Amino acid sequence: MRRSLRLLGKTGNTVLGLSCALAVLLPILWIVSAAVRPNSDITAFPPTLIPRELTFENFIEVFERLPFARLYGNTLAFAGIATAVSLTLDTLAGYALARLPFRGSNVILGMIVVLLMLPFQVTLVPLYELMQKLDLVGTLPGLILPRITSAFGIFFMRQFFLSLPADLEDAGRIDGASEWRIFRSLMLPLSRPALLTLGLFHFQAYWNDLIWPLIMSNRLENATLPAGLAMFAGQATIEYSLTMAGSLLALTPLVVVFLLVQRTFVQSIATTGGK
Amino acid sequence: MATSQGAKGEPVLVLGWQRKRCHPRRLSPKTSRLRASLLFLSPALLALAIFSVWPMIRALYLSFTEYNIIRPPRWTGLDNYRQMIADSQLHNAVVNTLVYAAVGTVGVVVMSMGLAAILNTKFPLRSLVRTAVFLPYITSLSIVAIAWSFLLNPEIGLLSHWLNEVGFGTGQGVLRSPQLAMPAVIAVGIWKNLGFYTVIYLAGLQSIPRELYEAASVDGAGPIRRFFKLTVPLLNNQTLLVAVMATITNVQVFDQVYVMTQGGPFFKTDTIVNLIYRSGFTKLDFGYASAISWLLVAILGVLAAVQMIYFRRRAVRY
Amino acid sequence: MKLSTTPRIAAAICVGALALTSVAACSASPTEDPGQQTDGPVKLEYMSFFTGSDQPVVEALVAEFNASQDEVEVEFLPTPGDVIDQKIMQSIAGGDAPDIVSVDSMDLAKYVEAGAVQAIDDYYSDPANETAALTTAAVGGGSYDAVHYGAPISFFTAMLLWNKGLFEAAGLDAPPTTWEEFDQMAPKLTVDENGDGVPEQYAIALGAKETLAMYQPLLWNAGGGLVSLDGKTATLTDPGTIDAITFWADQVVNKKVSPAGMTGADADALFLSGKAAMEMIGPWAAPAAVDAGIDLGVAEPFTGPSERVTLAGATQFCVPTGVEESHRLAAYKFFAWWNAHDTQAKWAVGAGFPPNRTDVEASEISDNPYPALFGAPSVMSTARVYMAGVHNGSLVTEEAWVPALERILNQDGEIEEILAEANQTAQSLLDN
Repeated sequence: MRRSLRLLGKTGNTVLGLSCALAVLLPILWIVSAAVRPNSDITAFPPTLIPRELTFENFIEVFERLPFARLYGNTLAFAGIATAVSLTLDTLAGYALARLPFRGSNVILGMIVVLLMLPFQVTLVPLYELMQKLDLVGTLPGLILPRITSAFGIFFMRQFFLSLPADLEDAGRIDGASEWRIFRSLMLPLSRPALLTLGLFHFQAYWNDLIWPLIMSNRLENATLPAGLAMFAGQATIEYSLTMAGSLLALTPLVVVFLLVQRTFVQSIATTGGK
Repeated sequence: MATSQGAKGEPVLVLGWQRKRCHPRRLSPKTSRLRASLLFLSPALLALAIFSVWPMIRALYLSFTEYNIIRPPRWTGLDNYRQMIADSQLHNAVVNTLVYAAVGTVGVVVMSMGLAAILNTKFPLRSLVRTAVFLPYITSLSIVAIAWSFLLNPEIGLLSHWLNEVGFGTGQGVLRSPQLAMPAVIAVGIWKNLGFYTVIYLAGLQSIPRELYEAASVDGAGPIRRFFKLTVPLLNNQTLLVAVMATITNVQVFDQVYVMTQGGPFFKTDTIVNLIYRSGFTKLDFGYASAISWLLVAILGVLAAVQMIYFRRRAVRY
Repeated sequence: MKLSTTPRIAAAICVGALALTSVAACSASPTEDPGQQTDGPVKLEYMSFFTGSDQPVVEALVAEFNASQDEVEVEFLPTPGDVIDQKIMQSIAGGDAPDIVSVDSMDLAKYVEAGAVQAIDDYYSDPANETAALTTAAVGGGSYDAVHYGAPISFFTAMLLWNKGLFEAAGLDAPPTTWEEFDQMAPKLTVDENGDGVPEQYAIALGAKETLAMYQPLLWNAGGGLVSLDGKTATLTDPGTIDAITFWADQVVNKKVSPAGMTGADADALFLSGKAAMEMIGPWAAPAAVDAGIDLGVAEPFTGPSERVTLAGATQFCVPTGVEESHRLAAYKFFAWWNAHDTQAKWAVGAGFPPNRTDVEASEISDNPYPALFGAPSVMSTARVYMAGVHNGSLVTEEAWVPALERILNQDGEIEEILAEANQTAQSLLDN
């Protein structure tokens, strides 16, 4: 009796889980489908998920219309460098706020929480002005600089470092290790999962970032993938098949990265969300 | 940067500087910690000051001016703020944003908690489902919003077509309906972030000591009762994190509104950030756009503070 | 604040100096384009919202211009419409404005009033530029308060595209030419097979927002409209406007001739999917419809109870504020080449748009059937460019008209009251 109940529960969960997954995946499946069919088949009635007419022309045209290799390179450079630098600065600052508090550090924390809530649209115009003054419009440093640290990242790392046991660093201090050494040799090795989580968070945000690269890049050759894909939306029409084919190409590396880090990712949140 | 790239954790630059300027032995532990703390903080704070705080202050200044970018800002005092008091479009956008934030946040908290509870049990294909649920999080919202608009198109959209086939006609279409457009953009917002929050809850569930459940089982509590009496309160820390993150994201809602409804039909889905965008980038009234931005920051501050206070009283410690 | 004003002042001095002396005064400016040399070609940046399917067409023409001579070299910078206004404004403020930009006629007034574009009356006064040959409608879209700010890029009219197959299936062989005929034919073209109140096929695809004006010409055809011809007064409560909206709201809401409240993209998709028998749209939609397998007819839009007015739109080349004179004059060469007889014939065949000039013969553009249809003399003589030279024209559309139309189509109040409210909003935008 109990066994069959449990089996029922298991089946129920499987069905529930799978239907959730399918519902959630529908738009993504549609993107895949739209990428491999001509525009006329996308708008044809009745709509279908499976293409009536299969074509790979879209991908060829995407490559013809956009310097795709260049865009990949730019996006990788932007998202990669911004993620790496931001992880470094966020970790250092988060660590200081969590483990090396001083009089006034709470005020700094408060300011960071305010910045955490700041919508990017607020600072867009002044930030562009600043980049003009620095003569960085249309350059990779101009794209990256505003992203070299993030209030969210600092906050996130602070929360993580708070959750580590206090006796760890006490042991280090008794041994006479410098603060840097305690951080580098004791704390940093423990924060791999948190770094991975934040890294994925940053990387997907920068990889998909649209508005800032769109504003910052003057030419296609210094644009990123999302900014390049925006070229397929015209004044009166959207080229659905090209947009979706391009989006699929842009999304694939992210999915691969995610699948690679997925397992560690869930574990890592267990350590950061806990406290 | 130099500090972080020392090969074996001995960055020459930092320590060299410390040694030259002072004798470590003579420093009290407190002073040396303060010094380290400031060194650790300064690169990030410097970057934040230049790239966030300065633009924010500049926006504050602009909010007291009339500014179309080309002409130098003209000081108008509190005019923009006075205009805000009388602006019915702004009031509408504030109400819509609060509705979006309330429904969207409660919705995503409930759904991600429920989904995490399901995913925490063992069943066939679980890891597949987990991956699927997380995927939307790494997609670009502006692209998937195009996909959603197409799926929801009442005449030729796939989802509408399927719903129609099984007897749920969407009539004029959800995005064109004054009643359904808002629920639709909320649903897309939930869909996008559900996976991320689910993982946070999943992690929380895995950190709950098993003995607590065993004790409850012995007491004769059923699974549903156990979930509400035990699991939900024990997940308070995660709920705080999810609620705060979701509120911040939701109050800043823009992408899917901009792509799917442009604030329509007749301003029913207009939100604060959408209004900021319209005021600034369409009307070239950056002074007013900046003033609304500061209102938004104030709203966010209040909401976050309320949530912190609420959950601080209910924090879980093992 | 100090930092921010310096380059702008430098730019201002530069512009001021231009009026007195010549190019030499500006070469000292720190914002001077370093790429420019005395003997090489003048390099011009052309920033434009021609993305999507327009991009390759414009790109090819620019390349052809560059190859045709060695004095001027234009670099085409396609930029999505969502950010282009901000980019142009900020680059002007920062002293590194592109030399040429595209401006929709609907937004010209906004650009002029913001101080973003230069007057180019001297382009029109130079006979070498053959501006006398340009169509009045195309030129009209580029002037504001009797000053020329733009040279035509493109000009289009909206014609009635009709699906011959659907008409045949309904036992009809020609599209309606008047509202009465539309009223008679529409029930045959509107099909609700399963009787659920939502037709599977519609007589027409009328987009309400995010599109070129589809409802607005219907107002004109009843003697109404959004704003008076001088662009000073909102006319949403004029009898013609009220009559037209009452008629079309009845058609859409009660007779369901079109889905209510569609975006332009929705309307296009509906027509392309063969689920709507007609759409009033520009020439770019015709090839897409043929691609989608539609047996396409193109006719003049049906007339209303008053006059026949055909919707037209235009885009203009403009020269941003702060661009030095030598670059402006170089840009004129590009404008003149673009609007030269041979280029326009090529443009018409390539893009399907009617030529900007009156002297391109039908025989020269017969390789493409559409430019002759969209630019037929009877169409051109009734063409009216939407919101040309109207202050806040696009805002009147987006903030007053579209919400009002959506409310009417959702029966969210009395038509007269909704229009009265919208009229106030529109008037305050015009006066602002």
